Amino acid sequence: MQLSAAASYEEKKRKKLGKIFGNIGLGILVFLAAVPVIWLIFLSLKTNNEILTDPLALPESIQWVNYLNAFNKIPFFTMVKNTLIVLGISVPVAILFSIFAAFAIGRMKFGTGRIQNAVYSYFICGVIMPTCVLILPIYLLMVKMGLFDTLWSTILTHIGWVAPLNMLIMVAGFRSIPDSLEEAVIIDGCNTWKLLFRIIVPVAKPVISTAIILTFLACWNDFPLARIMLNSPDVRTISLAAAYFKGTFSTNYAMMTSGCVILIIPQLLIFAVFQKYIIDGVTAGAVKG
Amino acid sequence: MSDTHKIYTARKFWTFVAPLLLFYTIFIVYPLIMCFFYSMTGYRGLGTAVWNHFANYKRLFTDRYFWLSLRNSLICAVSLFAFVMPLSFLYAFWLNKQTRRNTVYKIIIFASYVIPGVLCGLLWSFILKPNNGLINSVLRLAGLDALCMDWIGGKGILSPISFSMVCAWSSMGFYMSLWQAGLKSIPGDVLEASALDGCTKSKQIFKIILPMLRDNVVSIMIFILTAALKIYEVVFILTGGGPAHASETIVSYLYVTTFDSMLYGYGMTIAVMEFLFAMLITLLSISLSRRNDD
Repeated sequence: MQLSAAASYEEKKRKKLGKIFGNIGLGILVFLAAVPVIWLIFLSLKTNNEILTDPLALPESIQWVNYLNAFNKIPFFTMVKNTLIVLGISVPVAILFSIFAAFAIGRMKFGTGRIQNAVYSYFICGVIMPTCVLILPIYLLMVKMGLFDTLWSTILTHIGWVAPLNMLIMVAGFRSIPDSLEEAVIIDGCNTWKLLFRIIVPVAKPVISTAIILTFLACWNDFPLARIMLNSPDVRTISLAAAYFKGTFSTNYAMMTSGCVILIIPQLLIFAVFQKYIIDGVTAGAVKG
Repeated sequence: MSDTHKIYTARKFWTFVAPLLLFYTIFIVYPLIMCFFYSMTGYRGLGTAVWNHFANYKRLFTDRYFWLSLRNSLICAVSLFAFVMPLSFLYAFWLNKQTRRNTVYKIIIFASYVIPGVLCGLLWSFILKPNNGLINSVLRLAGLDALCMDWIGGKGILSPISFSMVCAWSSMGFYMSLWQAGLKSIPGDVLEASALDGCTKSKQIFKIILPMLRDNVVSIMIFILTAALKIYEVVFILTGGGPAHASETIVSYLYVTTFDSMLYGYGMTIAVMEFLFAMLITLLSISLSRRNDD
C-alpha cells in the first residue's frame, strides 16, 4: 500500500496509458480469433458476383435470399438427422460400456489385482493410436459384414475408438472413490448394480461428464472415418456433406457461404450454452491424458 | 474390508469389461494387426494378400511423394508450433484474471474448437484463396500487391503453413485452456512478491512462470506434434493435396494411395510409418517427463 501511495503522478499516468493500450491490443487479438466467422457471415449476405469481383465491398443490398436458396438446395434435414443418429447411439452406448469397464477395473477387488492391471494396460496402449491408420482394415471388415455405407459402420467403430481415452480418464476417477463408501453400502446388503448406479456413478459424475464431452466431440468432429464408410447421399453426416459443398457449389460462393453459416451458427450457440462444461471437460481430459 | 472382496469374482469382472473389450479389440487392435500384415503384401483388394518380401518398404525409400508429404507434415509441425506456442500463452496470461470480460473473450477464442475440421477448412478457404480471399484482398486494398501470395494451391511451402494456420485457429482455445490450468497451479504470492521486487512482466514470464510450467510446456509440445501429424481434413478441403501432390501431408498421402489409387498394401506401409511416428512422439514425451521427475 505504501508503495502505491509513494508512486508519483507521472508513473500512475504512464501505467494507465499502458493499461489502455494493453486492453486495445487484447481486444484486437480476440477480434482476430473471430474474424473468420465474421468474414463468412459478411460474404454470405452478398450476391455471388459481388463476392467474386470485390469481396471487401459492402453488399448493395443484403441478400437474405442466399439462406433461402441454401436451405432449399442443401439436404440439411438428412445431414442433421444422420449426425444425430450417430451421436445418439454411439455416445450413450460408449459411455455405458465405459462405465461398466471402468467399474470392473477400478473397483472390483479380487485376487492379486494382476488381471485388472493387465486389462487396464491393454486399453491404455490404444491412447496414442492415430486412428486414420486403422480405417482400411475396418473398411474391409464392414464390407464383409454388409455394414458398409450404413450409419452402423461409423457408430460401432466410434464405440471402440473412444475406449482408450475413456478408460484413462474414468478408471482413475473410479479408483479415487474411497473404499469406506462402498463397504458401508455392501454391508447394508446392496447388490452390484445398485452399488454402481446409486453410489459410484453419482460420485464419479465429474469424470463421467468429461468422458461424455470428449466422446461427443470425437464423434462430432469425425471426418476421416465417415469419408470412407459413408458413401451415398442419404447417409451423409454434417462434416461429410459439408465436404461435398466444394464440389457441388464450386463456383456458387453465395450458396456455399450461407450453407456454412447455417451449419456453424447452431454449433456455436450450443457451445455457448454448454461452454463451461465443454472447456472444463476438454481441459481435464487433456491434463489427465 | 473382507466384505468387499467377497462380492467380486473374476467372472463378474469379465462380464463387466467384456463389451468394451470386444469393441476395442475389433476396432483398434485387430485393424492395427491387419495394417502391419497388409503392409507386407501387394494387396489391391482382389484375391488374396501375398507376402512380397518388404517390397513396399523398399519402395517407400525411393518414393519422392512420400518424402515430400513427410516434409510437409514437418513444416506443419514447425509452423503450428510457431503460431500456437506464443499466442496461446499470451491469451492465457492476459485472460487469467477472472472477470466477466475475460470470460467472454475466452469463449470467443475457444468457440472455433467445436467447429468440425471440414467446416474450418471451408471457412478459411474464403480467407486464403489467392484471387479473392480476405488476406490478398486486404493487401491489394492497402496497395501491397507485392505481398499477395498463393497461400494455398502453390507449389512451395506456403500451403502446409496455411494448413497449420487453420489448425492453430481451431485449436487455440484448447491450448489456451491447457496453459490456464498450469497458471492456476502457480501460487499467487510468488507473482505478487516478484512484482513488488520490481520484476517486469516479461521477466515474470521468462524467469518465473515458464520455468515453473516446464511440464505444461512439454505436454503442449507433444500435443502440437501429435496434432500436426494428423492434419488431414484441412488438406482435403483447401488443396486436395495438389497441385500434383505438392501439398500432401502424411495422412492425406496415406488416403490417396489407399483409397484413390487402391494400393492397399502400399497404403498400409505408409500407415505403419504414421503409427511409428506416433510411437516415437510418445516415447519422446515419456522420456522428457521422466527427466522432469528426477
